[in-house]
Amino acid sequence: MKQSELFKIIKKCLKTKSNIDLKSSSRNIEEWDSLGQLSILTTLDKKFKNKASKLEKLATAETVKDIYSILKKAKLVS
Amino acid sequence: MNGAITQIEVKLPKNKISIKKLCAKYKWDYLKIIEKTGIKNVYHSSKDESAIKLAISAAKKITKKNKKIDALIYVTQSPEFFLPTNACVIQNRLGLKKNIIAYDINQGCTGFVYGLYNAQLLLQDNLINNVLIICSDTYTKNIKKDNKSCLTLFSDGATAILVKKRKNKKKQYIFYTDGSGENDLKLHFSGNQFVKNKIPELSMDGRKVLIFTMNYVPQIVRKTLKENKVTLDELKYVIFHQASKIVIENLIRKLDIPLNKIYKNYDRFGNTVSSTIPLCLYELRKKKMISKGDKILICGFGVGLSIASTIMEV
Repeated sequence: MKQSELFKIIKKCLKTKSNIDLKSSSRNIEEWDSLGQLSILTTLDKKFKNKASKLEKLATAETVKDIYSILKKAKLVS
Repeated sequence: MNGAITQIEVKLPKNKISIKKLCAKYKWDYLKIIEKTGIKNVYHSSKDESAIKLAISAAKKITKKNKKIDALIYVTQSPEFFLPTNACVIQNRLGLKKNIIAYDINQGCTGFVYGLYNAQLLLQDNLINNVLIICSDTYTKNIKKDNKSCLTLFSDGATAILVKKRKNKKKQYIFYTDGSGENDLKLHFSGNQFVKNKIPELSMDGRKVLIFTMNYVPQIVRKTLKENKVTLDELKYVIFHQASKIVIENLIRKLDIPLNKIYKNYDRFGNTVSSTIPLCLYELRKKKMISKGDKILICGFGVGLSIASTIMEV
């Protein structure tokens, strides 16, 4: 998966009108609350066929940069 | 030798709260919440409705006609007392005989399965024929008014379950415990952590509990099937702890369970902690949706963190 696709997924999960990039986080995106985080986790898990839920650090990753880094380390994004 | 559930009774607090109204009151986004939790109503106990009172009300429906209880197991994380043992107090208040074994189990979402396991062990004793399990929790008494994620999820309630000795095939129980998640769902300032002028307060990191559930519950469910030599096809129902919509939907997806095998009622009752599974069983029996010989997989998971699962035969 490309970085741009990850941004699209996060935007859809959060149902936000704001642009999503590596600087986006729960601090600057109003819709990124605990429910939004659950949506991101479960959507990524579906997308990566149950591999994302094994990445426990993903649960507390509250910035797009962190999410991207964790997924990249696991070789799930390019 | 094993046991069979012959009666289940329920007692919910009088105060039924609509999540829609609760959201309107606190200006929370109802649609966003309901999309994830699926919970439309919760029950909040009043000041006078303690867990032990709810427990006794539920159990009376059984013991009114049946005083021959040989063992009493009280499952709660809302104890009236740290000592004496709450089950001893309940024995007296229910007017049960005195030559009885009575003890408490401190478990939450896995509590009913723990209770059932203990009942099965006790029924191996020649002198024990009837075990009464009572599950009762009042988590909402310790939730702060601004705690959106807990307030829209947890519900109070009690269930009483009569387990009688019956000759049937022994069932395997599978347990999983990981106390490293102790802070993910916790009642702060409780027990010996009590701090003067601080009310014990419930907190939950839903993200971590979800990740734990998604990672380990499917493994435990598969192991439960394997150890009991039962296939998913042979099951009439799978009853998960009624945590929330997002949790149950993800377990269904991960385990590829046909929807007609899932029974759920979290939308109407919320997450009543130790009572969610017996509450589902109560409804299945009442609606005559199960019959003798049906196999049901039950799986509790959550606070601890812990998981407990087995297959029961109706």
